[in-house]
Amino acid sequence: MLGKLLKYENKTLSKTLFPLGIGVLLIALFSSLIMKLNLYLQDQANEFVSKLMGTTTVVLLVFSFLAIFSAAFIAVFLILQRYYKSFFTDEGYLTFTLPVKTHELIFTKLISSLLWSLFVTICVMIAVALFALFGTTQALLNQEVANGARLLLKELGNFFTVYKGTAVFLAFEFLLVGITSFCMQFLMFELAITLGSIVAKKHKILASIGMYFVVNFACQSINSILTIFTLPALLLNESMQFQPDEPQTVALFLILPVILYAIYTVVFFLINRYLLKNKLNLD
Amino acid sequence: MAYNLECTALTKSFGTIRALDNVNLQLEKGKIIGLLGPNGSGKTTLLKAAAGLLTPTTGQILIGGHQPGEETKAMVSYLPDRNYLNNSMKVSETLDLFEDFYTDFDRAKAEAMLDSLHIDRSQKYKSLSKGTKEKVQLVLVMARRARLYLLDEPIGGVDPATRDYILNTIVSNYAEDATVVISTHLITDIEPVLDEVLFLKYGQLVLHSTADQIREEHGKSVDEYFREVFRC
Repeated sequence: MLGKLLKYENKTLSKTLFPLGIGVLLIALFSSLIMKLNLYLQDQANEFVSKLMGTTTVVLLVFSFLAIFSAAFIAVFLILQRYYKSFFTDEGYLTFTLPVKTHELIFTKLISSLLWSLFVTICVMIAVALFALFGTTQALLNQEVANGARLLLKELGNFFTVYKGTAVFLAFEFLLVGITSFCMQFLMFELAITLGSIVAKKHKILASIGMYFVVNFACQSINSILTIFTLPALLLNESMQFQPDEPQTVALFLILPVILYAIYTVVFFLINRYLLKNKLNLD
Repeated sequence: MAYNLECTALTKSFGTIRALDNVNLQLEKGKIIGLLGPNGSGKTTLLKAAAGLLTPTTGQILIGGHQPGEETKAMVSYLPDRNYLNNSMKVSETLDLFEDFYTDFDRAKAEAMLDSLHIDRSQKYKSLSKGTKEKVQLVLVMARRARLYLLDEPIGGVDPATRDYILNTIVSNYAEDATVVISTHLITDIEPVLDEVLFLKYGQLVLHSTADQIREEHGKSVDEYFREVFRC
């Protein structure tokens, strides 16, 4: 049933998030074109036209960049809105009468949010790259940016050649940190929405926001306590030979957030599943 | 043999209000049952508890001998008193959805019913009128070969001609081993199809009888008897 749930969830999310991603790319293309035109006209036109073009372009660019970078926030908002709508509004009457397990519903939301966030993130990255490469020069391609990117890739290649296994492990760890922190964050959002919707009779969204701060505060407190007790012990442990510049040390320290985020993810998931299974009271 | 719906000391409270108060009942297969009562008597709460949308405060509710869960949801066909379909879907997509999730969904029957009601399957659900939305939902629910149908106000928002069609659909579509529970205020309209009647008052079950028994013992129609019992 998970596959079927994912099919319908992705279909619904695609109606808003696909245009959002494509919109970001179009904005990047459009602003690159305007910028290119501006650079060209600055050489050709008289002073007044040149100044006018310059001002218009700056305003346009500010809005374009705001649009591109706010796309990530809009995506998160749309994903969470979908969670709330399909669980705690009239649509919940269908969602919770489907013959599926509660954990399948939660997994569906998590997997689809992961996929669509990735899609929007890639669109934003491509948009920024497009602008940096094509929108910042009169020529076809900004050679400096291209060289910078080439250098970055070369350095990364060198890093992998020198540190081999550790570098691969480090890259894997960064990926794990990304995935676990994403899962933790989304499950925290979703748990807050569930708590807010179950606890409050009215103003459920407001209650959900309040619950998010409560859950977040609780996590921050736990994190602080853990840091106080574990970090000095790790730093002062002579056998660990703490060397912050060494990739081995970084690799070792990255395991901690992965474990912590994974624990939070499991705890949020279990609480959310318990609430949806045993405390559901749709209005 | 398990009852299609069985409640034992079922109580549901919302704060200090008892929406269901110690309800005990057993519903057998092959019956159409009218769930009747004034506003706020607990009809919708009972149906929602059976559909698995509410958690009982105390007591137990069983469907085919099972507590509400994935298993019972596969055998319960529930029509809520609101639009529960995703507005951005087309009518044909709602058929796909039911076909995907409910193994007992008969798509051919659903399409035939939609055609009889002159509902265009290519239309978006949000573009339909209130009455047509209700018809689509009823078609989806009745096109399942479920063991228990829970219909909350199925004829409330449709015209009298469609009411007849819907009632005929209900009578002719449910299988012998199924039970249909209909909650409504339009007692006169549904009375001809009712086998049994449940009266709920302030969350308590005050009557569980056959429709014939009411007519024989009280010399009144179910509608007249309802008015007498619930006179303000």
